[in-house]
Amino acid sequence: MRHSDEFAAVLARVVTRLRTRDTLRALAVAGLVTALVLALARSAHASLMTTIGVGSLGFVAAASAAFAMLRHGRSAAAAAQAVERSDPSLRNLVITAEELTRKPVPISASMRARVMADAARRLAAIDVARAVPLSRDGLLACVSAIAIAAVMAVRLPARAISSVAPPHSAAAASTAPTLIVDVEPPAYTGRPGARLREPAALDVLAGTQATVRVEGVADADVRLNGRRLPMKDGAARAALTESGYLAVEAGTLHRLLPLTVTPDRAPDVKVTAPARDLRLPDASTTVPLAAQAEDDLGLRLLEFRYTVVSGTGEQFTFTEGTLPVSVSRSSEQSWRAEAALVLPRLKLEPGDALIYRAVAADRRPGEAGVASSDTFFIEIAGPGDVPLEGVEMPPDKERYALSQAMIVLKIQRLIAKERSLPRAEVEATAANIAAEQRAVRANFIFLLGGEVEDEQVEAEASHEIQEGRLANQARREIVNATVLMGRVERELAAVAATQALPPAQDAVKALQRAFGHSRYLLRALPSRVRIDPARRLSGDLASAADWTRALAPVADDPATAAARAALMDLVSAMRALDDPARRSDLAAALTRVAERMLSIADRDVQGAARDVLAARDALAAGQIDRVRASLQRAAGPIVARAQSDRIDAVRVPRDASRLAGAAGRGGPRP
Amino acid sequence: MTALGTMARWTAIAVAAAAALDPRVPLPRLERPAIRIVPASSDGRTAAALSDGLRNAGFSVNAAEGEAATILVGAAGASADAGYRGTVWALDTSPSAPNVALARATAPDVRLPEQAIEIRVTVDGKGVVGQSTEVVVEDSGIPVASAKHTWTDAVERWTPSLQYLPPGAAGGRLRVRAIALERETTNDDNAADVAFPPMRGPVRTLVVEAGVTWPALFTRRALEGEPAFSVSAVERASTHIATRAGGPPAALTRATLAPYEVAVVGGPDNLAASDLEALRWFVEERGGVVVLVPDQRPSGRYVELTGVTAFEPRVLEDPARLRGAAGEVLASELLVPRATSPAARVLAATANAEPVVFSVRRGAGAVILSGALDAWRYRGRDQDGFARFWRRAIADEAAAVSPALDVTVMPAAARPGETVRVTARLRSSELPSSPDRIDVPSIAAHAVNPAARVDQPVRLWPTAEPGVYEGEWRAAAAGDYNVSVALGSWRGDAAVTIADAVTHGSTADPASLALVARASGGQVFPADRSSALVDALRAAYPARRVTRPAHPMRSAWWVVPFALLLSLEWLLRRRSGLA
Repeated sequence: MRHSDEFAAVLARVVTRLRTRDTLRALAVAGLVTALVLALARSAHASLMTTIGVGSLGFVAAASAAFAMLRHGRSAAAAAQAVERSDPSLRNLVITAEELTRKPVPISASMRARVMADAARRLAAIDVARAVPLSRDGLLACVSAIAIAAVMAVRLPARAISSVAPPHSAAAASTAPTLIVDVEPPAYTGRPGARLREPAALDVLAGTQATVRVEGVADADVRLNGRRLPMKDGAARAALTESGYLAVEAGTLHRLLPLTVTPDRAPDVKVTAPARDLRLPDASTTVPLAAQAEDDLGLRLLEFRYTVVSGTGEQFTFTEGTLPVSVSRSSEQSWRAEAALVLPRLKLEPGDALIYRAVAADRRPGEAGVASSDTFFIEIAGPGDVPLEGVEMPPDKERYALSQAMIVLKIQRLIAKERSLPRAEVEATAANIAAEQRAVRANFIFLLGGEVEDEQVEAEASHEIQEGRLANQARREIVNATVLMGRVERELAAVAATQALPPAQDAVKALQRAFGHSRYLLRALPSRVRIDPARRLSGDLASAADWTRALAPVADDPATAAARAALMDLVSAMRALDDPARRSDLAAALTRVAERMLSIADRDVQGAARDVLAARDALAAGQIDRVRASLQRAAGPIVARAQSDRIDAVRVPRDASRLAGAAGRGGPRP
Repeated sequence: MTALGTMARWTAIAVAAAAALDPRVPLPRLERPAIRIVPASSDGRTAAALSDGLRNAGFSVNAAEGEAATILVGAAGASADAGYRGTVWALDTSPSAPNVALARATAPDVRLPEQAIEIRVTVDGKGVVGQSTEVVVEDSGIPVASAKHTWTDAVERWTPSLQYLPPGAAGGRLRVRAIALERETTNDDNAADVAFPPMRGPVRTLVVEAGVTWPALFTRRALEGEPAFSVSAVERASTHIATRAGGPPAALTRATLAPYEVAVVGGPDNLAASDLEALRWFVEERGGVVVLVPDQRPSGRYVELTGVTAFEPRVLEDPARLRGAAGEVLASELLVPRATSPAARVLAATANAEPVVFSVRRGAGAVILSGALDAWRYRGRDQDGFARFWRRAIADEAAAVSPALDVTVMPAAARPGETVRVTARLRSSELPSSPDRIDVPSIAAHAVNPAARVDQPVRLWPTAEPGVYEGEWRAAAAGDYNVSVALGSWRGDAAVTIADAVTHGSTADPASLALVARASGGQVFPADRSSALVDALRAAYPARRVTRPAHPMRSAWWVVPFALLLSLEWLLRRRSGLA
């Protein structure tokens, strides 16, 4: 190969490297330009496709332009200069050789050959990567790519909901009204307030105070769950207690914010020790108690409360009190309390009972945040009871399973074996049966207690005179049965099984009569019956007369009515969608539908309201198919809610009915 | 002139004379009978191809008269007045497998407040074993009800029933769609429109508690306060003391019962004979529904209204779940009729299908008897199942009673220009009872669309059945119409929705096609086997030798020999020197 060819080949490699460098530079410039274009497009809330399209166009244009502008830097002369810059010891040898190859210079052939030979030799030893470094340009290209990615990834502030409004100009944007909502959680929570600018939704704690105002507009129409809030000093204030929506209309600003109100949960409190009912032989012991409570926000109180039940027969007295506790706080939300139930201080007598429970309260003022644990019993064994040390009482289910019939059976067995058993064993068996009899009796005495208010509710709801009469009969029989059970207890305490059997059997019969009288015995009996003479047909028979009562009003179900109205609006909107002439009013109609849906206390329906808003935005973008799909999605929960309380129908064909009726006309006459 | 020339002349004269006389000549020939082809409107191409095949086989197609057979080309048997002649054969053009076709969708004529409309759909599946079809009801494109079915037979019919409560009081149109499966031969038959009527007023209901009983009390409570029922009630606590609500009548007579549509009777054992006679009239003549809600084994004559003569009382330890057309109800004290009318409708029955609550049609109305004596005790279970049961049972029966003048339209949703058949039926109890003649007042019908200011008369014609009139009407433009009929003092209405986009689903009815064909001795061939039909016809109608009168001189070809003969005669004359 001639020296000139060797020289040209090496120089060509340098030129190639220069081309690569220019490409990287063009990419870097194009990337930065594209990042700028994308940022502008996104800030203008252009759609994704538009943004990508504009960005791509900018990238190609910028890259092409930059590559073209750099074209003079990747010639053979530029390559020779780059080589010379990388190795100053060449002293323009390569530049001279390059010029000799490019243009005729009047020099001798030997000199030309000499220059070319030297240049080729020196050039062969040149490091092309050092002559044209690419690392910096590559880094720049990477930076620009990162800039593009960053611009696309950054979340821009929410766009104004009213997308049907014309796009704002830059001048208008500076004066555009801005929705500001100040939320102040209840003071007891200790949570700080917050200022929300252009919120997309509100998610607050129940009782939060909200102050709504629109910057740039003096007057605004603010509605909370359909209720218009009065404006004072340019702001509307309200306590947020129910989920729903917040609608704000102020000039060109139209906002519809879904409102989620989370109620403050009552504390979760439970007794952890001993957490079971106890029967103690006497009141000389101390029972350690423990409880724990948890709350979603913070606790204010955790204590033990007790009620001492003293007395026998139908003479009971009740004494209430609170135990001193030692509280350990693992956090504001989680407390643990321990207390000692010193029975001797409570002066319990044999046969008395103590009922205790743990009570916790969160920081809400008043009784709203008070919660109570399950209630447990401690019973002091009475005369005739089996004096077992701290025996656990049967669990509820087993306790209720101890039937009076089983008592009778056990007495009969005792009588049958009485003569063959030692006296001590007979006494022990009789005492056991007496204890069981006492448990059964106690259950029925409990059933006879209750709250007066429940009875009133029951009475007002039912208007059932006869039901009340039957319930009273049942109650009388149960009272009779408990009296008989008391006799059984006394006879068994005296180890007189034969005398205990008849009252036990009578008690069974009384209970059977009681249960036979009324099927809703268990509904009626927990109430302490207070007879209303006006409802028991007592009084003067001669005063009985006709009367006219008012018809029951149509049951009001606002949520279902609102769902049906919303469904009707949706159906109307779908029809309007097919009629281009009616589409202009559709955006406002969809806003109304969403507002109506947000007012329905149904999480699914409220969620579907977002689909309606999405349909409205799609409508503004002219994407009719998306509007239709969004409305169909939104309709699901609405349809389900609107169908509640409907009367399902099974059609009876009229023709068949007519024929069957004609055949049945000749039937027997009553 | 030569003898040849003379012969040519006279032969030409003979031809002319014969043409003038036009003699009728009997000629024997082999031929097949004429056949008439009756194509459906959309099957003209198939019919034309079949016609060519038949002509090639020697048949005379669509001759003016004397057809030996008729070939129906279509997917359904044509109407009876099509005037078929001879044996009917059929070329079935219904879509081939795999295909799902929505054969029928219907909605009720009456809709009560809060009452869902029941949309009954008939779907035919052909060759889609193992695949699932979903039927969706759409209100203006919004899916409001759906049902799904997996096909198990090669040819199967599925009849789902869907419920939908429209949100408003107005009538409208729903579209029923069978979601298309992959590789269906056609999707044209996957949708059908049904029109549903506007909501009517509540059922005027009278509750008569002849004695204060729990069953009637709670049945009344199930109805009172419900938008579907307008209740008046009277509870007789004793002979002389009653509690009233909503303006009930003082006594049960024909006049006082006439305004009501439903009478719920509690403690029916206490009814007097006059009360029972009034109730019988109410059911048979007025067209009312009587609901008998006893609380004990019947001891009065009121059960004769139901046609049941004896009941078997049963007491169960645990409440039984009674199921039937009106849903479910629980009861442990039952009255089971020993025998009911075959036409009785079982509203609730035991697990052994013994009716406990049932209805029987009697005259123009119906009687419901509840043998679930203590169902009221379990009224709180199943989310108020007791109340829902009675609302549904009474609403269904009340809706089945025809009004005095019943107007129906078919179809209730149609396209502009499509024929809508209007039927007006006067209840037979309203017809004059003269034994030898029936005088019915004049009838007038109009199709009215107030929005479009259309008031178009509809001509109705009396049918063979007294009191029944039929007519046809075609709407020129889309809109919501009301067909209003007046017959004397009676008025009746029916709503019709006319829209361009109305579709009726599949028109295919292979069964009717087969029925028409087989009834006359013909057969049905699928469209892709038309050659087999031609072969079958060829075998059924072999060519026969027949003698047909002919007019040979009417052929235009006689001009040729006539002209040749005259030319020959002229040539010979020229040669012989004659002019």
